[in-house]
Amino acid sequence: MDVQEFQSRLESLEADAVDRLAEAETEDEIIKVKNAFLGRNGEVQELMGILRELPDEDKPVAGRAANGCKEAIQEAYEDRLEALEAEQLRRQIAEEAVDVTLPARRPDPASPHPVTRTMRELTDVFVDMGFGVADGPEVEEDFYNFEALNFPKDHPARDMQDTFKMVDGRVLRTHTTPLQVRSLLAYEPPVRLVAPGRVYRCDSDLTHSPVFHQVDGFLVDHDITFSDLKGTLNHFADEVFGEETPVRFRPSFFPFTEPSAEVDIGCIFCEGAGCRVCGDTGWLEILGAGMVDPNVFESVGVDPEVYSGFAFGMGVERVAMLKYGIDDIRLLYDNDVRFLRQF
Amino acid sequence: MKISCNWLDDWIDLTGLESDELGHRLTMAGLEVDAVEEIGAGHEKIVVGRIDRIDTHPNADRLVLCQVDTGSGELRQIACGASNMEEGDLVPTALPGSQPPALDFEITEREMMDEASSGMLCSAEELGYDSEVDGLWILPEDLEVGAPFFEAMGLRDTVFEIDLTPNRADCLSHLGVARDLSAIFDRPLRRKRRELDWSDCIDPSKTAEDAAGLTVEDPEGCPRYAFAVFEDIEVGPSPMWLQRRLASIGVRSVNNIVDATNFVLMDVGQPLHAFDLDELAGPEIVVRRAREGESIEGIDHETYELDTEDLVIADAERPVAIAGVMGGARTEVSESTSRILLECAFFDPQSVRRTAKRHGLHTDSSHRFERRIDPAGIDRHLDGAIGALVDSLEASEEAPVVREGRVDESVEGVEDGWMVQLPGDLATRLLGTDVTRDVVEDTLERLGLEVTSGDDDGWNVGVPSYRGDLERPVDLVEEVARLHGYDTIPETLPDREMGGRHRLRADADHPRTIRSRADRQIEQRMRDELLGLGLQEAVNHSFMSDEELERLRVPADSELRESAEIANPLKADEKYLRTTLLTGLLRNLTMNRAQRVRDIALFEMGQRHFDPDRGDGANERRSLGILLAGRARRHWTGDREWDFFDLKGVLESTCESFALSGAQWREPSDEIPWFHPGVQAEWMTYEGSGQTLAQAGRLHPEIVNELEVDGPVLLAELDLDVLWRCGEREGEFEGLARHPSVERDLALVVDSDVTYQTVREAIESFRGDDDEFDALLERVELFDVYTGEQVPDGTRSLAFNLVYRADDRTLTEDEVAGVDDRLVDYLGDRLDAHRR
Repeated sequence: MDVQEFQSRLESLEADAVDRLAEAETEDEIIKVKNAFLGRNGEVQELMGILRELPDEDKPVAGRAANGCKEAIQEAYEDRLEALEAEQLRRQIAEEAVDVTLPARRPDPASPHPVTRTMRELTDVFVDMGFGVADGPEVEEDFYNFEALNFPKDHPARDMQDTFKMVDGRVLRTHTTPLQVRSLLAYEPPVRLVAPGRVYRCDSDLTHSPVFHQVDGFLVDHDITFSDLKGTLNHFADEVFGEETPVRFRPSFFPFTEPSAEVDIGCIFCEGAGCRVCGDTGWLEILGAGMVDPNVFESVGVDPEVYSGFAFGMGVERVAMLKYGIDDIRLLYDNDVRFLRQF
Repeated sequence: MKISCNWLDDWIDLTGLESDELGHRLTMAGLEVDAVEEIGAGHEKIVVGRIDRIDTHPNADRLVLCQVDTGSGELRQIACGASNMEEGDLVPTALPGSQPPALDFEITEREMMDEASSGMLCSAEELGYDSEVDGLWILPEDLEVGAPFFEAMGLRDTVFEIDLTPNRADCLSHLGVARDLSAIFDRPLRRKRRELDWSDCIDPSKTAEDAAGLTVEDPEGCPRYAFAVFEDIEVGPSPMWLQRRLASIGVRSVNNIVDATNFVLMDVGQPLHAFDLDELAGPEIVVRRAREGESIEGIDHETYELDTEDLVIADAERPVAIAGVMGGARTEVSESTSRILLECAFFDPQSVRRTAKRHGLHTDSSHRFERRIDPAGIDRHLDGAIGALVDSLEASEEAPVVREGRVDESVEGVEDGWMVQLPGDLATRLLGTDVTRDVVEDTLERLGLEVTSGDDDGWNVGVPSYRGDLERPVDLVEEVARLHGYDTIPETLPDREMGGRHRLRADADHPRTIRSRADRQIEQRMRDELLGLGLQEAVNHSFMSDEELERLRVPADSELRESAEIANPLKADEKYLRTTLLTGLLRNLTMNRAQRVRDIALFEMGQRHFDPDRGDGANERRSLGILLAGRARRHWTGDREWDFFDLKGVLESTCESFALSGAQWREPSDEIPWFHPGVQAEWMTYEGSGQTLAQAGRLHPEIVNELEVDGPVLLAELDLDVLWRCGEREGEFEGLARHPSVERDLALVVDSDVTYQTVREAIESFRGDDDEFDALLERVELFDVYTGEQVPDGTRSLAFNLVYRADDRTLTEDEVAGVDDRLVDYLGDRLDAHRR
């Protein structure tokens, strides 16, 4: 065998190896092919045996050729292996692909009840203004619910609030205003608190529920004026119903305030033009308010010559119904899941 | 209360004021106008027509053809079926395009039996008025032909529905509203209605005392009583002016006597009552409290059993009226009445109110007495009432009228009203704006108060007796603010430090009312957690019925039966305040299922109420209720139903931020009857003997069947007050482990009735026996529960993952294997457990 033949044998071995590597489909096959050529008993090794038989002057050339062949096969092997890995990864990726538009897996979306949510929003406006939050019993003594709030016994003012009476003589609180009495008995002025909570009146129709919620608030200190009340509630209206919401104060009557006011906001639906919701008046009644009546101060032992204060109260359901456009108050208490999901 | 503008015109000249403006100004002065009714508006095409000629109808016997002048210059032919008219009569004529108020169709040009008919001649009924006349409404001759009918007849009116606050008793009449309008618009009051001179009607030879005796036995209940007697009267329909007045405010005409009393009531606010004098035994009037066992048949023909506190008007024998509330049937004025006794009195407001409430009555009369009528007005109003009655009776001047006004006890201060001292700076101090002296004086004077200068720049203000609501200086400040306009008061924010701590009062010991910020936040966090887990928040009423507890098989001695009872529930099944939130949540379940909503996960936070006689003082307890039913997860990769362990998980996640490390789940010590006997548990706090934090379980399958809701329903109720007392978990940093742990899996076979909790506690207790175990064991977690062929019958396998770790070295498997073996031996001794 001369050197040319040796070289051509190497060349055909290399070509053969490259072909067979290309045909090998798995990692094992590829290794097997590599070993068949480069292994200890492989074909290249076999040919190396022949190298020794070549004339010495040819050996360097043949040696280089043989190394070149080995390297080429090694390289082809590595390439093939790499290609196979790449192929496998590609296949894996292809297999793992999903329709990303399919629906997600998650807990059902849930949100607070519109009443709770609204009550919190209303409360937070005052908390941000520096008011504390007061809490008290729902079954209340007549004294706190009525008498100390200047509702004398056998007075028609009591008809303003249809009252559930308990068999034991107490009442279901008709407003959270008793917290004004309880708080003024407990704390030294200045006192500034909001009382969110559940209240009761025996009345039931599209807009009245026997159980509903109120946010009541009051501020008692030196030199508190009606203009402070106006400013505070204007700020409140801006926060809850949007900047520049018009606010209107109308004279009214509550036994525990004097002067008293009903507070309207410009209708948020028609912006004052007149619509079904506001009864064509352009205004929505939202709050009752006023200056704390001297009789209330007297019943809690605070001197009306020294202190003055304002108080206000609003129905949470009323605000929630306006904000969410709910036309039947009973929907709020049915807890129909289809309703609750909408908030 | 309805207020007619035409009627107001008797008291004040409102010329030039549109009804919109009037309504707005009344509302802004505190007399809230709820509705405005325009009577006769939009009927311009109903006009006064004159019948020029009446011809027979060529094709119909029962119709005539009228040639009617409607002021247009041409006669129009109108077919008519009436026969009470003559040529030259004026009649209301509805032109084509109009719709008479009582008809439900529009008048059109049409042919009647082949003859053109261009309009309709109207009867009173067709125009919305009662009439005894059969046929057309023949109008007074002096009306202008072609003029709009309602205007020409003075029937055009604007009526305000005013929602009066209970303090404004003085405004419960046209006079009262006119007084406020007089102050608002600064226009004087007047008296336009003709005042009859009835002095000639008095027969000086007869006095009222001759006709009837008067005894007021209870001057406290009736400080003033006056009456007049009318003889030789004829009861009949009221004159037209009176009918019209009452009709305009929706009061039905009865007869000339009753109508006159109603007129005075609505005109000046004084309730009156007319008795048939011939039916009064004695005849005598006794004002007294009812006697034991007395009853009276009211004019509504209901019989009222009287209470001895009820003030009555009695004759010599028995009660004839419930004072200030309702008259009696026996002495009611009837068609045959010829002599009446007209009562004009002041009754004590509280007494009238108690009596009216007691009998469930609310009348125009009691409404006014309760709110306090003008005590000084009795004399004046009796005079006015006599005038109105004479007018109503259309009595000739010779008709005999006997009059006697008698005033007994005097109500304090009524003669001249009373004085209120108004400090000079009070208005400015309360309103927060400079109110000038002129404004104060002018406003109060316009209201009819007498203002004179008093001490220290203040005023002495004389208040008339009809303004019972003006007793204190602050009441006068409100009057100034109300009439000057709340919109003139500026807006300021309280100029002071806000948000500081509230200091407890030193002079008294009253319970705190303030909820801390932390307290509110933690509740909010719990709510957020529940929402995050996919539960919807429910809000239910606080009511509950016996039936609902019955359905839940709540035993008679259960705490849930110790409910607080409402004396006046709206419905029979809302008689109790809830002692559990579960009844409400179950109502929500059945309601949703009825709407075919299958998957329901709800929670509610609210109060449970208990009978105060229970004695532990905790009558109101905050609670969290949870209901899970249907699928916990709906997904195309597979659905999953809620189960008991989800329920436990929801509770535990929700309470994550509380210090509950020692709290334990256990089978309830007493079986909870509304839960599935095999799926119910209590969650106990660790303190002392432990308090029940929550009860959780599956609704009993029998109850599920009764409620007709399929599938398992999981329920839990957690006592938030108990949870709160556990306090918040205090986080404290512990160093991170530096050496790797060794994990061992250990499957233990135990008898089926040995609970997980028992095994878990045994593992924990081994710590005490084995120092090495105690030092190395970091964590134990159950990862599998198995029952089946691989383990003997009556046993199950609990597989735990145990994590061991040493602080100072890397543990080896061998080291740990020995510890494990000792644990298994220990559990073998204790629980007869062995390795699977």
